[in-house]
Amino acid sequence: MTTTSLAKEKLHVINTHVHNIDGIAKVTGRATYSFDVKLPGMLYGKILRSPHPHAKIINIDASKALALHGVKAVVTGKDTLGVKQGIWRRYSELCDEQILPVEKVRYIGEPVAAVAAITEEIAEAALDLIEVEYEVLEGVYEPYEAMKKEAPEIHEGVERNINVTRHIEWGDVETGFEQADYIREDHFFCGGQAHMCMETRSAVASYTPEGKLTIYHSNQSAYYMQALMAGVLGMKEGNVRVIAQYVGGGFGGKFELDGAIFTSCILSMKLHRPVKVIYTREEDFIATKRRTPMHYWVRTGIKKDGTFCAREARVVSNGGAYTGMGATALYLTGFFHSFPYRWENYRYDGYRVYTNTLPSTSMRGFGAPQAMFCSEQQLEWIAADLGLDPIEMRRKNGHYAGYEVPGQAFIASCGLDEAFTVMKEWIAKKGKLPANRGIGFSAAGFMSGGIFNWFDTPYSFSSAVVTINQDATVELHIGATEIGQGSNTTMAIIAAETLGVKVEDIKVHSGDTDHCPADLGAWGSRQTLMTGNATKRACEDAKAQLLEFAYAKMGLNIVYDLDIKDRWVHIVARPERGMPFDELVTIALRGKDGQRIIGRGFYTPHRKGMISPAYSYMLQGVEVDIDPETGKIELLDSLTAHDCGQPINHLGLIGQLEGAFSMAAGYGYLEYMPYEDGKLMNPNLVDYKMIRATEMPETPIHDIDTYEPEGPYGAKEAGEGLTNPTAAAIGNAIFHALGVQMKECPIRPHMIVDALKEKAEKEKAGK
Amino acid sequence: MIHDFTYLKPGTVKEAVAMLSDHVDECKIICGGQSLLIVMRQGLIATDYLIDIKGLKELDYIKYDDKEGLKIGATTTHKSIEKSALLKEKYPVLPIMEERLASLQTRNWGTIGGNLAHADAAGDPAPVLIALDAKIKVGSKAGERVFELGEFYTDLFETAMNHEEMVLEVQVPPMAPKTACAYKKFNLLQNDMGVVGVAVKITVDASGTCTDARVILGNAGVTPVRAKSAEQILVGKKLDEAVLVKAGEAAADDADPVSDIHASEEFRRHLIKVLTKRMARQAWEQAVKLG
Amino acid sequence: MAFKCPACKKQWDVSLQVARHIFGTGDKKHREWIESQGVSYADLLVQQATNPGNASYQTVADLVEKAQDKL
Repeated sequence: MTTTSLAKEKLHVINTHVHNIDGIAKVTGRATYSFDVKLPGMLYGKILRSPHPHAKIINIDASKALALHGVKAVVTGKDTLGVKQGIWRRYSELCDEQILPVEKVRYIGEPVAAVAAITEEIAEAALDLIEVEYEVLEGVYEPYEAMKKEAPEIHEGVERNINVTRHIEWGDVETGFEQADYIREDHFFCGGQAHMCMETRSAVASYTPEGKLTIYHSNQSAYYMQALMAGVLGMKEGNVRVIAQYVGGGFGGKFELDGAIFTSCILSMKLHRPVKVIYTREEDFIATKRRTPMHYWVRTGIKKDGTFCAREARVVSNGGAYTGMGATALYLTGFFHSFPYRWENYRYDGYRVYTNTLPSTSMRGFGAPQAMFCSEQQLEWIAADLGLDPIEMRRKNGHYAGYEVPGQAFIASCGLDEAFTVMKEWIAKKGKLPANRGIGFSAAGFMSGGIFNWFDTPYSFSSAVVTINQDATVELHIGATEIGQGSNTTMAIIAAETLGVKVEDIKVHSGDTDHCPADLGAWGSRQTLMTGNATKRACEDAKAQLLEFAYAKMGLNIVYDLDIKDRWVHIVARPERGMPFDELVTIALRGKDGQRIIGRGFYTPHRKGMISPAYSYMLQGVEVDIDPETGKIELLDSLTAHDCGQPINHLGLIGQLEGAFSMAAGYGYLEYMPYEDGKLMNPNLVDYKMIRATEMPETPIHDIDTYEPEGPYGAKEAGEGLTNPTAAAIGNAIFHALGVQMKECPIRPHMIVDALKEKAEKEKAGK
Repeated sequence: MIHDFTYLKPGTVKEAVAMLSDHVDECKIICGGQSLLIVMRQGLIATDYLIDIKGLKELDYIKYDDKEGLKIGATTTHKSIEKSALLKEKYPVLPIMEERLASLQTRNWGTIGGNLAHADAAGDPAPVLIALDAKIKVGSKAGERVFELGEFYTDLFETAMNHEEMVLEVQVPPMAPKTACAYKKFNLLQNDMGVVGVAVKITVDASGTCTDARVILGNAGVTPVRAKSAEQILVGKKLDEAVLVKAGEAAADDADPVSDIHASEEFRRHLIKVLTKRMARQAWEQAVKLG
Repeated sequence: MAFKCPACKKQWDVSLQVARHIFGTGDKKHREWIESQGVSYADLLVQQATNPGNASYQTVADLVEKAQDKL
């Protein structure tokens, strides 16, 4: 596209190597996370948790705990309004979770009571003194069991424990299968995964007699927390201030209410003193939420020449005790299971089932990693079954710019075809591999923010306000949440590019509901596109106001274009003619009777289909060595071919893609959450295995140049989508190395050993 | 929460054993604390006194002479053993084992004495040192005692020491001629604890026949397990594939592993079979090459 | 011939599509219509989720066809 190259020539700040603007504060320990907040008179809170997976709370006697010296208060569900909350403000039946339940607990680790005391030690000691009388109920832990007639009822009136169903369909699937030469069906299971943020759930709440509540909280959306807390406390949103200036990771686990924010607020309101609640690592494991475990059944019909005819998928997911964001994960897994291919006929039915286990929810990839583990492995096996080139088969059916996913989405930019070419070259260069070594790849796509408003916000999805100071420094106020992904830096770059100043001129204010405009926050890969657009518009607004004064001052013919770059206001055709930016600001201030220049911008997607305004595309290749005797997997090398539109910050992009790779590879072969009778068996970092530096291969990135018309400067998603393809790529590498098909993730060593044994037995029987 | 304790820091071994004697059942020794702090945090150990012997310089040494063999002091760090040029020459299996023992930080701070006294069945040094016929010297106010390391471990996290004793030194006899030792653990993360580990020491004669063998299994029971039936299969033979496979199977039978979330009992036995075969081959091949 | 949804009157060419629409919507109005036909919505849903094929959809499609005259 010619506009691409024109636009690119003009870029001064975008896609340079910019170090995170909060990096120095972080590495020198000055960044104040919720964990670090200390307020005068602050108390420490601890949460008593259910030891039972399913039980009625008959009575709670806190008298002994209250008698302990230093204990200031104990609260239970009875001290709350008992609001069943959830992010589904438009769908009340999906709001099913009381953070301090009044009548019944539904998973091990669910909060039952909370204590505030003068020290953390006393608060913890007090927990042992609270006497809870339970009527233990039968528990059920697996979705297929929970759907049985005789299974216990987890939520009153929810028949067969079916929480939600999601259905997606286009084309004529039956006819599609009739046209196919080859049909393959497979069952898969994808496990859960812990979000494992470096900063555990943490909050400091301070309620004052004026009726105002201030909360420092580690979250992905300060605005959601403000609105949700106002809802459960019966307060006005404006009287609740949420501050999430520095957040130690989110990964999809921190945009719902958690026990830390809820109990600290309830305790603080009771005592009119600040209360701090910090989760231990074990609490973060057993009592937050997790990636949704899914049972997948996939049926795919293909013609001999590799043309995709029809696909049908059915998912049963383990919802755990509450809805969380699980309903959206159930929908998105079904949608992205079709990606990145043109299925003329597609059908998906998803069923989410309550169980007495840790609730499942969104996690980086939002259902898509499960979808791709199944889809991309099955396609690889089909290509092998039919003797087709797995790259060319995929390429032939891939999305392209201008394609419409029937009734669902419009694809305006797509670098998939080039990604296939890049991957093909990489694989060819590897040549013949030694024994027990394989290369696998997998394709995927992802959204750049969701077009969902189940939260029913009346605000724009993103807003920004930019104020120009007299010395030409800039205050940028955004509601986006910086959770370590670098969004403040991204917005500073977009602002600097748009206004024509330097990154260091931009002061970004984010993560404080009192001072920043509402924004849905950091989830669903939305901020670069949505907050980025709002920021760009706000800066364009301010710049247009300033340039009016420049035109007037310079007395130019109106056919001349004026622009600002590197703090220099100038005529585009005669760049040497102009004035410094700060001089122009001073002129404008004088001209406006001293009013500061304020630009406003906002963004809400319109006419962009059902899911997202734009889609990223990626291929992940991995080279894997497998020890066939022990089943041990070693990642040797990788290649990421990635289309995120115009990268905003090249350094930030590298960080996001490397992080996504490590999390996704961990999902593929390490991160495993075994439950026994509702109890998580490895709630610590000794027994829960994650990729470490020693396991990370090199992760070179091939960035594919596309331009997304809906994104700011052509940008789209980069931080989340690459979580999707990797588990399948590892599975495909194992398939090519050893000829076995791994239908469960994480792929653990004994599974490979068993699969090889089974294969050897079959071959023996065949002879 | 960690139970409140009084921190004691002796300046000499003499002071340390006196403190031990004073507080017998209310104290724990810390010597690096890489394992101890975890169980203290979990509340599994609640001690009133913590005696920190890590600063005892008199126990920080690696000494060797051809007659007495090797002596490593209790406060010697894993990193010192890993980096020792002397050990790389005389007992190369020790630095190799140490390099994969744990993360860099743990290797920098943790000590050999602390590791051996902690008696974790998944510990790496014990199986290797037992394969090398090591002894362990412990001391108290009453004096010193020396145990065969192979007889030191009595149960999970239990040793033959009494509560007034502390580990002072590990002693390894000189390597016999044409003898080599190999160790490998199975894990998913490079520097993680072993799901199982296998140490094999092989001595050969001039013809390449195995004349002596030690097969010690880690995390294959509540203490390090000596796989005697596997050793019997190896001794008197040249180690071809058939012998190695048989030895692996025998070791798997000798083991008494648990099932847990990391591996079932059956899979642990399978891994022991594979690793025994591989380590016996590796040790044999190295021994044969030695002059 | 077109088939109407007995609960909300939306119509499709194939009765099976109406059945899929009824399950897909799954709100109170549609559930109640299924229950009024003497079959359990939850039972049909579970059968559909846990078994291959489309038996539940077919059952509802048959009911939809029978109900067309009364619409």
